[in-house]
Amino acid sequence: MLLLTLAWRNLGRSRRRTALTLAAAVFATLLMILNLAVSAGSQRRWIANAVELYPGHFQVSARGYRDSHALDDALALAPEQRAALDALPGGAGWAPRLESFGLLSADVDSATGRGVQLLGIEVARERALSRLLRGMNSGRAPARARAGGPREIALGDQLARNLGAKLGDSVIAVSADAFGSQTADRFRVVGTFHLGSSELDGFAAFVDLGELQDFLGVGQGLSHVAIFAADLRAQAAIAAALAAAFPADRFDVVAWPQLVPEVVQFFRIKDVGDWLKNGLLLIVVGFGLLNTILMSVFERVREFGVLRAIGMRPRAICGLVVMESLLLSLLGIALGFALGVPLVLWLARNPIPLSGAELRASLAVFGLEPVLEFALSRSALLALPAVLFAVGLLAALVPAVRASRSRPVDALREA
Amino acid sequence: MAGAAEVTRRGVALGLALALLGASLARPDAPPDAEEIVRRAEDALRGKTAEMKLRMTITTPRWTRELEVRSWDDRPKDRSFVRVLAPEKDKGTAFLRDHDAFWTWLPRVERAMRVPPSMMLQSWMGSDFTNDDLARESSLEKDYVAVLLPGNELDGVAAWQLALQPRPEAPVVWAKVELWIEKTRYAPLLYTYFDERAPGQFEALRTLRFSDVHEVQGRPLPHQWEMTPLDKPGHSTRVELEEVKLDQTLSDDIFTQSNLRNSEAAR
Repeated sequence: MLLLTLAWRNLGRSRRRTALTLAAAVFATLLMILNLAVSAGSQRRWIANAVELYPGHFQVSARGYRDSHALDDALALAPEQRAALDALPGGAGWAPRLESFGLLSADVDSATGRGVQLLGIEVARERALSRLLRGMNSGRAPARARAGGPREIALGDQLARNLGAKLGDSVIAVSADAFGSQTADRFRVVGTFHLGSSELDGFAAFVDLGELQDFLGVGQGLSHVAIFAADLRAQAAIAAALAAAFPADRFDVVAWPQLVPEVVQFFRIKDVGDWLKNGLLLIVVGFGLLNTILMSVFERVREFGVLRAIGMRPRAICGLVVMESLLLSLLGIALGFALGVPLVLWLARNPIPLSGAELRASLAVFGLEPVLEFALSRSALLALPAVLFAVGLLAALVPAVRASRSRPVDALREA
Repeated sequence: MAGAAEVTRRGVALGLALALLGASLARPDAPPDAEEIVRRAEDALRGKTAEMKLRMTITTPRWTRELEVRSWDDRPKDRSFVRVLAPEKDKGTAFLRDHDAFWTWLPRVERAMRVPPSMMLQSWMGSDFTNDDLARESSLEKDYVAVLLPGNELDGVAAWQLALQPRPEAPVVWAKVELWIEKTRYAPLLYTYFDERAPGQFEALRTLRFSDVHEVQGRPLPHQWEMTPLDKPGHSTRVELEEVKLDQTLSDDIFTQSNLRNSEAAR
């Protein structure tokens, strides 16, 4: 207790030195908080990006479809299931879809067919929920054919190039219908899209949902219903509502970590990298603190010499320096959080716009907004203070031992 | 001089033939070479050339569908032609293969489309046969190396068991095919097709069972073929041969783009 009082008084006696060390601790805390916030921000953006491109936060399909991808296992929504989807909590929206593998070729004889995924979508719902139609880079989204009019299709821009098809051209589509029989028809190209995913741009085509159902003869059959949560905090409630409306013996409900496994995987790897980066940053921060404390110990050779001369034990001197450093660390961490948390919260709401045309263009390819996003992660709030405190303790040990070895003789010489 | 050489060559050939005859007479129980068994079984199924009319019945847990098909298979020139005769919905759909080029005729839009090689393993007209099976692009005889296995009997019938593994350069789709061939007539009984899950770890994916063997032009030809995918319970496709002509010379006119476009021929 005496040591604590002494340490506290010491801090007060040399305000400039204290302020300097404190500033180092605050700066270190802020740096770590911002670093974690940028990591968390980019992670959230990438996941949202992958989920909103097409998959959604949940997908419901009929049991067996996820393995077979056969129209035999198509999903038919009962009226009460539609009602349940409309009433999902947290303002979640849903989009019915039909997917079918098919061949597309230019409308000339003996043209080579190309394997594509035909995606039957409800344009209005996709506009509101997914990013699928934000990629339209020419023409418009396909609509249901008017009586006697041609069926409509939108192609990935790479696919359109591969087929040699331009807006207004017709293409031939072949697929297997609900009875396995071959179905073929002409479709008019009304638009092209670029989504920055070679899978979609090179191998996918959009058709109105009703049009594709008609082409394949599947009635109201669907491949899946995609559910988009407006607020991820409602995830659990949405999952519960889906489980109630779609019993597991006849339906599969799959959540986003399984729908975008490559993104989840990517962040698992990135996490390891982040830890390495944070570790290095911690070492730098630790040495910064160590340096400041060590300098302050060098300045106090006389003081420690006198303390030794009047009979203070080396151990007590060691404890005194550690105590001073810990008080400084605690103060620094507290101040760092007091400044950093509101800053991150503000940045989370006001992301930093990125300038540079090239950077903006390359992000746009991935459908990413050119902003630096921040998010407050739980690990920043919980683990960071403990880790920083430990680093502060370690950084104090060397100067403390050094101080405890002070000899009265050196103090005299100093004078 | 040329005459003398010819005589010598004939003499050598005759000598060899006698020697082989002698060898086979000396050991009447010795099994023939594995490749030879495969060759004879494939000959029985396909002839040198084959023109067939067949009825295909596709069964799934939810529906059954029947197709009537006429096919021409020209092995020496490595080409084939298939035309759907019935039902009305699919009538006129036709397929032409010439070496590794494969076209289909789409009567509804009156266009021929070249089918990419990546599609050869896709289902043919919703059946459990693949495009490759129908177009007969890959050949058990040319693309695989056969080894005789110890099996001696299948369902009480004396039979050879063979394992076929693809030749290194063959553009082949199955990692292994296991054949059971009847000993007395060299008629095929059962083919099992395998995928390789991990090196050396084979998984049976489908079986093709032959039955109803009649002699056609001196060959034991099974008239019923049943393909069963092992990963899709309740699915199977049965083929019944209704007319078969083997070894006739097939006109070049059959294997042309203009014949492909001739939907009228399906009538």
